Amino acid sequence: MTSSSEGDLQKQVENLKAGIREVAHEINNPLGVMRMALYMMQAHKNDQQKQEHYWELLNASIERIEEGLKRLRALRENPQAPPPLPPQSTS
Amino acid sequence: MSTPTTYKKPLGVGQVATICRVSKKTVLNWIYDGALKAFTTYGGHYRIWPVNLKKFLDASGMDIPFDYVDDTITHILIIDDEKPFAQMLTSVITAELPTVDVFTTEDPYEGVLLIGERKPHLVIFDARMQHIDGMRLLALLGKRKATHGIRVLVVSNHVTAETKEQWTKAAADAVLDKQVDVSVLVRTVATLARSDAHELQELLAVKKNNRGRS
Repeated sequence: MTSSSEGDLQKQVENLKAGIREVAHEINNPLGVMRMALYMMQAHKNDQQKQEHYWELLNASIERIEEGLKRLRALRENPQAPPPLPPQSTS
Repeated sequence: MSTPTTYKKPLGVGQVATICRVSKKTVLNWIYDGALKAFTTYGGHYRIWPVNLKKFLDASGMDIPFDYVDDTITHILIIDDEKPFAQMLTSVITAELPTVDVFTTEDPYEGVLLIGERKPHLVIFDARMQHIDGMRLLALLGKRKATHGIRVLVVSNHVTAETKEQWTKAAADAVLDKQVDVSVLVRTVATLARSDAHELQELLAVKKNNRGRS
């Protein structure tokens, strides 16, 4: 293996590591939100308005997790590319 | 027109009597009847928190202007650049601990300003946010802890044995992973959020109960 290809491989590994770290972080945040939303849904079983509000939060969190997984797939297909920017936080 | 006095500390029976324009004996009767909530000091004197006097005045329909700062309310500041997380955490804390006042910011720099302006009893923040050195913020909070008794809870996705030790050494009273069980999170916040006022009330209540038993 030439030093140049070794260097490329090293870069790919570093990119993968950085990407995985970032995606893990991106996925953990909505997971925390989902955990709390489920807790609140349980606490307000009879409040339809709150149920809908937390339901929306759950959906938004699932979408963020899907975004993270898309980024992970993109990274697998092209390990040399820098990880794309994370999606903006939604309220 | 004179500015009305704003009461912040627990009031004595004499002060309440003056505010309500009644005799001390009347105030004592309100306390004995349970209409006005009071606690006793170690020396056996009655004290009334302004919030309880306000409740009494409202319930009794007495038309007496009374302005106060509620020192029994615990103020919690959440600093997290993850807006959905901060919002959800606020909802959970507000639902589970109704006597706390929670305010949030996504901007760590605004957070620093809010710590100075609103003097929260507890600051909850992620020590790994973009655009700010979390360790530096912890160091600043550490200084404030010494003078203002502020409590610090770090909630982060980056909790390892190493970071936990680092943050605890710097100023954190507790460090929790963002994936922690919600009931553990609530319990930790409840423990840390107890203001001096609450502790004083609880201490006095325990002493009163002990005296009652002996």
